[in-house]
Amino acid sequence: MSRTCVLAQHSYPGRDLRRQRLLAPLLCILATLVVASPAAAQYFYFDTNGDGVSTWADSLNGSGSTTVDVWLNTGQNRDGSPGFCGSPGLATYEFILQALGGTVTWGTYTSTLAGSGVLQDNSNASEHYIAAVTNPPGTTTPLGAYKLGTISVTPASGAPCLGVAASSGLSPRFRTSFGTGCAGGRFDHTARFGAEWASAEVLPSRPSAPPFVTAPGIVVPKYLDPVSVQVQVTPATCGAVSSLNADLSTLPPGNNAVFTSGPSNLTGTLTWQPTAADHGEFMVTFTAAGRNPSATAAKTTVIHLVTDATSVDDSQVEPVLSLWQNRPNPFTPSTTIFYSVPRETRASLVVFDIAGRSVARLVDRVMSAGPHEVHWAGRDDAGRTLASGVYIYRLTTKYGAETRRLVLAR
Amino acid sequence: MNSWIRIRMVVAALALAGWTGTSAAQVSPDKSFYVPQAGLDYNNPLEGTDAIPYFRACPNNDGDGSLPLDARIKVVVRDANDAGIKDIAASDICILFNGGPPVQGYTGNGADSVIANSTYNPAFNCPDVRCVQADGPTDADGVTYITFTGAGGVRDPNRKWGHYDSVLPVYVLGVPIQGRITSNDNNGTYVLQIKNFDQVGGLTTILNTGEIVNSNDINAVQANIVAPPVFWRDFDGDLFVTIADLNMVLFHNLHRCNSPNNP
Repeated sequence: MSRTCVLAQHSYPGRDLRRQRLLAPLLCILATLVVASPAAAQYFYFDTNGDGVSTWADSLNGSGSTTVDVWLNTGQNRDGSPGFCGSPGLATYEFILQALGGTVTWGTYTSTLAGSGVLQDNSNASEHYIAAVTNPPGTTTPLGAYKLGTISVTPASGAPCLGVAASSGLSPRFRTSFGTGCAGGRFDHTARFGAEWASAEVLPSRPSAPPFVTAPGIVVPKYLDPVSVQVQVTPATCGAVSSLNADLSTLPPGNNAVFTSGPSNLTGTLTWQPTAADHGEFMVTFTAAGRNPSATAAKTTVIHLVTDATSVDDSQVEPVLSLWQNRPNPFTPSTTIFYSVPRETRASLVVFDIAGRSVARLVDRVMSAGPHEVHWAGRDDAGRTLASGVYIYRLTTKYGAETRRLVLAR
Repeated sequence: MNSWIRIRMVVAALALAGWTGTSAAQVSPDKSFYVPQAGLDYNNPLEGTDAIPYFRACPNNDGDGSLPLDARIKVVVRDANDAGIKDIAASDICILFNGGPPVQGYTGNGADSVIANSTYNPAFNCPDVRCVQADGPTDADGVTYITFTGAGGVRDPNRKWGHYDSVLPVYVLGVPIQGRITSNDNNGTYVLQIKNFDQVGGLTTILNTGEIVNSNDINAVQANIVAPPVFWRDFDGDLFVTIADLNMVLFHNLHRCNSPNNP
């Protein structure tokens, strides 16, 4: 295998080892093209388990020290596209390690690459700046992924994550960059990291923390209007959202629903054009995974399609009094109850035990017309945990009342 | 003819040209001036402190960070009545070099420094740079430009110089004019200095030690990263000598008069 091929395979650290193997031949060709038209870039990443790649399993220990290998990919953006700067490779680098959400105690940085070594090594409790020369003058290292060095990091306060900053509070002269030189302009070595620079790797202290998904509890479109549901995902602290999907299996057969996730899976949009035959309630569950693909969180949206063609008239598509089945059910530790009121009105939503005793008053106030949702953690009005069993919940307004059952399973 | 004699003759000729020009309109050193500029749009340029960071050169004048963005000065030539003087020939408007330090036999007006000269760089394609002239004659407002890399930003292989560390005087028809940091400032608020990636060596009579970027320059910049910044080594003009400055020198390592472009 040529050196180019070795570099190409090595330049895709961490994201998906299986895909990496499958793509190896393609990467080899791509790397050849890259070498033929050299580019420089693009991102730093961390490795704590010594496998040379960055995965969700790499993290800072909550207590005690973690040995962190700092890597730099000089040839490609994180998404695999070639870097934009026409530089031949690596001869120097500088970077700013940054503790986020806490402070750390830094160990000694040991440079891995040859050359004249570390030029500068400055730090405080939240930042550590390193500048180093990796090659003898006049020589550069080909594009690829390189382990720059190793440093020990020990949390001192809070639950810090480790990131790479573009600029530093230590000194205005400190930046994150690498060289040797780049054609054009002012040799802005921060800009050379391109758009992908913004997604610089962060090393979390809780890699398995799931994200948080936000979506409407219920949507009630006008008759034959297209359905559009917006989803937002908030990653865990220093986390990432590795995937965002929608379960469309409950929609009618032959539906044309499409779910599209946005940049970094932080947003998503479900679009669906129902037909005249579609009516009733459809539940779509949106699921997001964190840095650890197994760490997931979900949110269900009820799509309530009205049936009357005449309801195209705005005056006839007013919300109706509805009480939907809670989701999930059975549940533990919490569930969500969706309901709708026809006009602004005082509404009460009360949970009763099987003997008819009121145990939890979830809603008792004036509600605006339209759909609403309320979360219940299975506790009574005094905050006590309720026993497993069947409960009844009842929505009451001056426009009527509805009752359903739910199951608490601890 | 020795170079120092030649330079004196050039200066004398410029002075003479200035003298003969007085019958029509005499260049006023008080009203005339130059301004540092950069940017490919000459009608909407960077000026002053926004332009000066681009005033850095490689002895090969080879681009790639050397004199980028058409780094230049705008020259405005006016008479005592503050009226622009038009049609002054480009060759009468010069950034003036004098050839080298006294130990090499160079004296007289012009940058008293080491610049490209064939006497001390005989084996390489080093031009004898004395006058870096204007891109063209002055227009009706007495305005022209001196784009350092060559007229209109096109590389001129006869504009290659190395280490120097003093002010570059600007002459019009033999009359030295002053700089302004911006067009709206006063004369004397700016002096022209162009940093060079070759900033070590060449001050003696040893042949071929100037006009080349080599390990001496790299080591000097590298050492300056952890020391008080030296103006001539702050190539990106951010007031610090950083690894970014070192990267520029590394990129131009071993560049000289005949390499990578020859001539």
